[in-house]
Amino acid sequence: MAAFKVRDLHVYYGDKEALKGITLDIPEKKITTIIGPSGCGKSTFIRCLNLMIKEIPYARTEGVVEFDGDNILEYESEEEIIEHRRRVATVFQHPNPFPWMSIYDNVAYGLRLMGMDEDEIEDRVYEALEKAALLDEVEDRLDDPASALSGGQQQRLCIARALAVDPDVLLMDEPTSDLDPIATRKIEETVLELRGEVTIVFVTHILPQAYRIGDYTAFFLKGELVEANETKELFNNPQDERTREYIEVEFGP
Amino acid sequence: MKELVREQAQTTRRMITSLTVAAALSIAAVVGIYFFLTLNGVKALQFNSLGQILLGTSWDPESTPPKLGLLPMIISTLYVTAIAVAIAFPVSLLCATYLAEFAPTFLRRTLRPAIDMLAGIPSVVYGLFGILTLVPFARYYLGAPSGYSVLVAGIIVAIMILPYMTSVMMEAIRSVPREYVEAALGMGATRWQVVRTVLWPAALSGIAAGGMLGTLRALGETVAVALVAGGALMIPHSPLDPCRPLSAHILLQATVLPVGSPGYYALYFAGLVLMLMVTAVIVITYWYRERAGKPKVRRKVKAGRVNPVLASKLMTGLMIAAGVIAAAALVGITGYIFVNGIGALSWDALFGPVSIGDPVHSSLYPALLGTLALMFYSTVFAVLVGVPTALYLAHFAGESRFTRAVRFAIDTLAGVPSIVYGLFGATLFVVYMKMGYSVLAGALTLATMNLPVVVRTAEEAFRSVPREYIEAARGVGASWYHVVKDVLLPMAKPGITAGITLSMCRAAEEAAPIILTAVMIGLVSSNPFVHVLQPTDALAFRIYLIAKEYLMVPEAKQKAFAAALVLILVTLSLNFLAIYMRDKFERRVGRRV
Ligand SMILES: Nc1ncnc2c1ncn2[C@@H]1O[C@H](COP(=O)(O)OP(=O)(O)OP(=O)(O)O)[C@@H](O)[C@H]1O
Ligand SMILES: [Mg+2]
Repeated sequence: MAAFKVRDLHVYYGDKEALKGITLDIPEKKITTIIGPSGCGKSTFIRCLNLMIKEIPYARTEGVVEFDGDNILEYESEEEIIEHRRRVATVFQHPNPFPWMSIYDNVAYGLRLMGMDEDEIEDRVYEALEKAALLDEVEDRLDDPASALSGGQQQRLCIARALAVDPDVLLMDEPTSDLDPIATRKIEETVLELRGEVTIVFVTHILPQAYRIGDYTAFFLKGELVEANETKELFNNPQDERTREYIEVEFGP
Repeated sequence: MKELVREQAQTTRRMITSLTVAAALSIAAVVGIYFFLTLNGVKALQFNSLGQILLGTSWDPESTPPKLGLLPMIISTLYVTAIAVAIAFPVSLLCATYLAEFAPTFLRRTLRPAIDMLAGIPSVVYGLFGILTLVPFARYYLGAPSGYSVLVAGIIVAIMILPYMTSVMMEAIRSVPREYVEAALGMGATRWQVVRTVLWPAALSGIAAGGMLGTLRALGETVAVALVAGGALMIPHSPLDPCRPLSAHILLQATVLPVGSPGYYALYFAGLVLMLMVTAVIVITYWYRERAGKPKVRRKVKAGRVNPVLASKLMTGLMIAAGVIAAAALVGITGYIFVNGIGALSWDALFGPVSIGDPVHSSLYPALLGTLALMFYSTVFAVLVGVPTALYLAHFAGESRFTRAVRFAIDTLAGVPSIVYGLFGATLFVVYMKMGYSVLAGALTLATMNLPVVVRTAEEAFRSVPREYIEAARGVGASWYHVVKDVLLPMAKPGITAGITLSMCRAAEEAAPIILTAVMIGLVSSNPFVHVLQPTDALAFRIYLIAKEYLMVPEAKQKAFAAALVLILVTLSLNFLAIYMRDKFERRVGRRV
């Protein structure tokens, strides 16, 4: 089953075409990693899945992104867009917990937006922190400001914040590129724990990372999808010359 | 060679000494203001007890014993300020949010400078507008006995402080990092939820600063309030009653009470009370910002029963409505003055015969000349002290006690109401230094008032000169003197010019301080640039005088409109220049415009 069915997706920023006809299925409850050099359109692709592209006034899309039977690119009303975003949560490159809120309030944020009552929120907050492998480290200081956490902890807090709303899909755009190796490992482990529970799209430019955690991998180049396949298959037996070249250069000799 | 190096090192030392002296002067100004206020203020206690002054309800300084009760004025000040802030704060916040977050780029690009321009409309012009439109409106339609009322004063002050508040709040909201907005949107927040849960909390400090700035101006606003509040010496019971805030009281009485009389001292006491209120607002704001900086513990957020999308639509509508109301008010006032002013402006009105002691029929020429002279001299003084102080603070001051004192002095000076500067100048320059009512006394008073404006803009300009330029010059062996002369001053010039123009603008528009120090009806000098020890006429004063005393005289309105138009043209073009310079400066140092 595919969570997202993307068909001939074009994205333009003004005159510049950032995605040039992407066709790709994102399988349900699996981890799909997206790789490619800087500027190839990975973030743009993610923005189409969470509809953040609609926040950029000069951006335009063509094609189809099907989710749960709808072409989400056709969503125009705020209702449809926010409803979609509440099912598709995003973790960004730079850890961005709200510094003016406590750790607890950060995780509760999305739930409060939905108007859930506080008793239920409490359970969900602990559950999400547990899933993000952060509970042990913060359990006794949930009321501390989020800014008191380390970079890696902040990113896991963002993951907890995203997971708290119980999303169907978790989008992660280079979530470890601001972190040190140990914090990176922790995030990877967290992500692997979630395999089978949520659909994950994980953007990275670190190929070993894509290899370690991916079930499926898609390789983007200059706004085009060059190749997509099961991760092992794509890395060990690339079909396209450009993929082979990129993997050889990036993985090293 | 050695000789040259020694000489340059010496020049540098001399330069730093002079900079330090300039910086010390701003401390002297603050000390001076408090000193003279207190010195004269406490003398009022010889005639009445503290309780009689603060809680007394009758003001009769000539009776024996004198009655110096200030309670009606204190209550009036609080009442007018409360109404003004209650109106202006929400409107500004919604306006600022709309402009920062929702408005299309072209709208923001045009409105941001437009708002800053509107901040340059003189308060006496607001007063003139109020007296000719809102006062009759309140009389005929709202049932205010005379029309002059707390409500009208509150509304006029609200319109005045709108641009200030909006401008500061907008900058604060604009500087909230995008990533927080994205995080919220990514969680499925509606636009309104983004505003409520991210933009406002993250910009809280700046929003509070905007609120504080507006409240301070409302507390100290003098001339407009003196014109529309009615001046009644009673405690206002309803918003439709006339009243007399402290600032207006000082203005109205300072020119009629003899120096050294009990009432005269009571006015300084009133100044002290006003300063106390100002300080209280500043302290409360600092305390609030401090406290609000820390995250709250498990704040229960009410999601509200309203459908969030519907709420979002409603609030967006409300923001647009706020924007439209604010724009309509400001465009309305400017348009009103322009339309009437153009009709009233003529060669005769500007350059016709001068008749001494007749503000209605005398041409505007001496007033314009007086305004220009006051602008010129006050700016010269403000720049002579302000720019070196700024340079000192930006590049030569460490974190010493002295520096902190200078900074605190500048912050304090920025919060002092203009009428208090008037009182200060009236004692120090007019009486003690024996300048009498004169261009010089007025200019020195205005210069003290404008010092913080000049210091702040210039310091910012010096600070944002990229370090690498300074290092490049130092690297090739330039002395600090040469760094200042060849790098800092040229690079910071547009920024400094912006500060100077703003200071000129304020010198032109403030009527209260010069009424206490520089202007007089009749007996004015024919050339205020030369006869600096004689009193002068001035545009802002002329408008005030006509609006206050002469509106019954035929042709009076015409003359007031003509003067208002000329004054607005002067201040708006200066403001325009300042904004242009600021943008040029921001581009030069490569900042986001
Ligand atoms: N908001 C924007 N406005 C205009 N152009 C944009 C915008 N965002 C991205 N682009 C352009 O679109 C192209 C794809 O950008 P995108 O951010 O999707 O790349 P990326 O693969 O995520 O790169 P990176 O690895 O550096 O994050 C780039 O050429 C970029 O310059
Ligand atoms: Mg990217």
